[in-house]
Amino acid sequence: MKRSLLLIMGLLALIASGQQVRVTSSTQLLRDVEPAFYPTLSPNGELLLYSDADAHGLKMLDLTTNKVTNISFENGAGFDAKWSPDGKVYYVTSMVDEKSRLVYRTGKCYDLSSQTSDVVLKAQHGAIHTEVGTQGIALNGTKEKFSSKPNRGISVYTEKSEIVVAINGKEHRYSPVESYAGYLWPSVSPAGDKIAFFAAGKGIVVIDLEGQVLAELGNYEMPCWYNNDYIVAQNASDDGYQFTSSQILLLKADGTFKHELTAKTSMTMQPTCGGEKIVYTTIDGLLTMITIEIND
Amino acid sequence: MKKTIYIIAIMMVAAMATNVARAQYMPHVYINPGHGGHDSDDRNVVIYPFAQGDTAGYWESNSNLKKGFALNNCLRAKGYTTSMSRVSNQTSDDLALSTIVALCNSSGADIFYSIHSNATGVPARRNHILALYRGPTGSPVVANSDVLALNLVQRLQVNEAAVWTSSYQIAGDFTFYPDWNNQGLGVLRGNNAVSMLSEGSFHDYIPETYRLMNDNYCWMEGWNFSLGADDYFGYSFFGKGAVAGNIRDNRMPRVLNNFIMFGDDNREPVSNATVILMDMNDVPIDTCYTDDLYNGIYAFKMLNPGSYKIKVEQEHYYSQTKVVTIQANHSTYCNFDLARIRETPPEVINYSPVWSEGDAPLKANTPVVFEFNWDMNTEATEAAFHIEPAVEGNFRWEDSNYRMVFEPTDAYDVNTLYTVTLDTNAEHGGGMKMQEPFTLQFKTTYRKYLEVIDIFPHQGDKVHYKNATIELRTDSMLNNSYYYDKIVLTDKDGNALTYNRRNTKTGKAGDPFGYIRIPVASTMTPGEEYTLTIAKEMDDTAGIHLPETIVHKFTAVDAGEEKPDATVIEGFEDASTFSMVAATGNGQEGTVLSNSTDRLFGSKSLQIKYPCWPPFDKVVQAIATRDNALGGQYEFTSTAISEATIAGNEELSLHIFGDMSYVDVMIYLSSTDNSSPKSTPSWVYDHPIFDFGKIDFHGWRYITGKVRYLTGEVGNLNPNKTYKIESIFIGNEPESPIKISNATIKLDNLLKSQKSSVYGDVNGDGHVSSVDVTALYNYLLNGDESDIINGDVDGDGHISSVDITAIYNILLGTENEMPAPAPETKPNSSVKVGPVPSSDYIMASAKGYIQGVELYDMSGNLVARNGGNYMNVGSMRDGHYILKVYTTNEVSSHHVAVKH
Repeated sequence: MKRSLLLIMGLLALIASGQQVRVTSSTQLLRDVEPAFYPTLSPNGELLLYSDADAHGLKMLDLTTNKVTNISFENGAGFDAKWSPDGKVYYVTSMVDEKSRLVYRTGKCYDLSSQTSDVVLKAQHGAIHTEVGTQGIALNGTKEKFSSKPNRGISVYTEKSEIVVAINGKEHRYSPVESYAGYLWPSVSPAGDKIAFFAAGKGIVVIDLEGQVLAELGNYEMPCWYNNDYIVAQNASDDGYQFTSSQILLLKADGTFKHELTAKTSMTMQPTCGGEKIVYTTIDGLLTMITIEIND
Repeated sequence: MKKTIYIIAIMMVAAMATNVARAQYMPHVYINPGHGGHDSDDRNVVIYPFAQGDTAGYWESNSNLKKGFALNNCLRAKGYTTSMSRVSNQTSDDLALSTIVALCNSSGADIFYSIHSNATGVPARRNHILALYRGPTGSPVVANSDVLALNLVQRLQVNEAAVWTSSYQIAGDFTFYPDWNNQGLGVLRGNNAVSMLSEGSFHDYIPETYRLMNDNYCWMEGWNFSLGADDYFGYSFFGKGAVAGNIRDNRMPRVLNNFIMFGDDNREPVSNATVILMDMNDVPIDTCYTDDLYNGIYAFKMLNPGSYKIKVEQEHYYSQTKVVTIQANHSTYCNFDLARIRETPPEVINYSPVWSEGDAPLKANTPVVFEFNWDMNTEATEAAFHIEPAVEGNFRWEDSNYRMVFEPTDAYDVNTLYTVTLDTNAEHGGGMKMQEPFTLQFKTTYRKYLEVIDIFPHQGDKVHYKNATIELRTDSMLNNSYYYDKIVLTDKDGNALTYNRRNTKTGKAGDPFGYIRIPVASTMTPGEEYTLTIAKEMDDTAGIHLPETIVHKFTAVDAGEEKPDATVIEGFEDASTFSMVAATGNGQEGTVLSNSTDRLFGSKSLQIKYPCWPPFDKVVQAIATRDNALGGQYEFTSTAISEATIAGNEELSLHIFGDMSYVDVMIYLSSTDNSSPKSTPSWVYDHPIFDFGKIDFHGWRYITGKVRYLTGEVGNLNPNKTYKIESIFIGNEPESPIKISNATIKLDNLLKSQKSSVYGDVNGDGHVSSVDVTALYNYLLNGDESDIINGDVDGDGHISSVDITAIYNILLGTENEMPAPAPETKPNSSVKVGPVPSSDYIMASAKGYIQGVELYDMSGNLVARNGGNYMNVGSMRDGHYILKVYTTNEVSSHHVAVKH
């Protein structure tokens, strides 16, 4: 009963909210150049990381000059590349050891000024979880760890079905919603007061820094903060073998508003936000950058 | 002693160190049991006793999860670390593909298994293993993924409890799904573990479906996955093995509702068997049971290497024991074929037909059925079967050989007493013979075969190429099962045309005859030959079939082809200008309406619907008495028709959409001078009829009427007179065995034209030959007018022996007015042309280079020539043409049509 009332109130709020969203610009990127996947915008929205369909290699597109820079040609480099607050790029590469046939992963940092990549976490077996904070970044390997700063401000990463929140170096582990398969795609809101992540089987969850659930936004994936109140996410479906639909949604972080930025049939996916820009790709790698206007 | 302790201590430390090293470097395996929940995409296969949608029945999401659990447990027992994408089977467990990839990458997995099973998606069935990895075949995106796949399938293929229809297949997903534009499987895209997706077997192969319901069977697949992982990493330290197998009856056929089965799956699995694992001293170690889900599967897991005995017991079977050797890190398979316990002799417990003298005779295809108390030795029992008088037939065994059915290959003789004996050589599966012979008798009725009343198209017919309809009419109601398999329409290349099944009509109880009337969905090509084949197996509701397969060949034509030399007298565009003058005979009313659906010209045709049973008077009689009663037919007239006149050297042609109602369509004329007194014989010749014949066809047909007189005689108009058209008559034949209560025909453009036939061409086939002489003889001697189109060769108004003489004169050396021959078509040409008909371009294609094309009219005149492989016909007149195609290897000619 209580749940039903909450649901009705949520719906009413949705109707009453009356937000209007308008796409104010839409630009195709890398048109006729190459397919691009796993896009990641820099916080100011001027630089874009991307990779190929299999996350092999990592490239950077300067949106002001359209210049493309190769950062890495290694396997896995594009899958979870992150921007650090100081403007560097951290990424993890993977390789199969010929002898043991185990997969080894290496943490690397690309410095834009020197245009070079350095190993910051040597090759190791097992998972490496990237922890992004408001002041620094860490690569948490199973055996060894790397941190760009001892104090990373407010930072977050997921490990299995736990979300790990570190505030000024002190870690807190939360499991605010049940999810056997695990949590993914954690991020701190621009104002540093909320965390969004994805719980497999549940969808996008927004919590506060104490691990309290603020909203469950629906069974969507890959949340990224558009601003401190809105989240952009992917809504995909499949038949167990291949994607059958995929679209980009704009969600209000309190769960009261949802807007379809693209149609289900558009096969748009993997959204990223930065500098009030939204970039997403399609099933075949056509990158699009849009800007939007939200009238609250 | 001290030394021994020292050595043991060193060995223990070494073993611990090995374990520590192994634990430090043990791989992490990500397990993705495919799908999740019981929704439309979770692959429910309906098998007895479960209803569709029953979550306890077969779902791929269930069996994938069972395999996943087994793999997870086996790997953990071996020291691997693992992650699973789901551990329950709810809709919320059906994670998005991109989520699964991200979870796998986040877990730090070394290898990734996506566990699935396969389905054909078509009626065909098979059972084999398919393993897919990302990338083109031979070039995996993540190195070694192909090796992982190979290691797995080799472990799965040894499963002898399954029946495989072929060996395994390994492929890259880009190659396997060529239409996916290299997007590949979603769970492998971006996955940076060494990864693959397994389709372990085919879950829509029903014996396999039942096996996949068995927990032990799924466990064995999970175990085999773990062995594949061991092989990939080169591990052999795990000291356990497993044994499994399938327990079947050694001879009883499996009854599975006509599902396709292969190999040993054709024998009954043994349910509820007790399987005991013993050491070599017969001391029981473990016990398991086969379930009651028709799979016969057992398994013993995690066994130490060594020799064991396996004993199988089931109350209806003799128990059986086998010795197996278990090897570490291997799957051993040991199947059992059990013999049933049959302790009493076989006997007939039921039979048919049950018939006694004085009972009604039986139909001539009545099967003889014996039901036994045991499953029988089919070979011995068939040899013990005798029927007098002898008749060829076939045996069929049902219900796992408990029931024998004998059916005559063709049919028994009619009105005959048959005696069937099963002698004492009949024996059951255990080898005991019948103690007493068994005899039955029955007498057959008069009817042996299904009789055909009519088939459309008839042999040699010309059928309008669009919206054709085929029909079989028989003397009894047809069996409406599987008739599409028995009545097949093919083009000249043997390709089957498609039917409009939704609008197929069949006879029902109370109809005057049995029929199946099938609209043809495919459009035919004018000028090409088609074949209608009705199989001998076409039968009626009593199972009486045709005496033989019927093959009718016919040609597609365009009934609406333009007739440039003819004048349209009536277009039938406006039904309101027509009125029914009289409707007599059965007191029922007919209707005249416009029809805009079935038309050849303009926007409408004229639809005439009329009740025609009980019968009217015979047409000719009615016409002879028209002055008195007009009884015998419906008469329709219009202002336009009544004002039209035709000259004595002209003829009338009409486009008729037939319904196979066997009515006659005629147009009644009277000479404009009408000079002969009514009482004189000449009056008859002033009132001729154009008879368009019996409507024994479906669809549109262009028919030139035959002139007939009220006497019934076939003749000609008087070339010195002019006639006016009075009305259209429709009448039926009282003697017709086809008692159709309602008929609906449509009429379009009525044309008049100069008699265009070749002088002396009696049958209207375009040239004069001895066939025309035969046609005249048949008419004059037998009254057979079927081939008489222009019988009055000399134009004296009558058909007589003088006309035969006139034809002989032509054949002996005078003119022949045949058009110039069309270009010859070379047989077996590789050239294809199309579309037909065409409104803009006719394209030619061939295996070789096409040098050019030429278009000829049907008189053989060159119309156009082009140096490419196409002909622009956009500005050409509608009609039929010959396209001549020149290639480097051949010159071929093709009948084409232009229609705008």
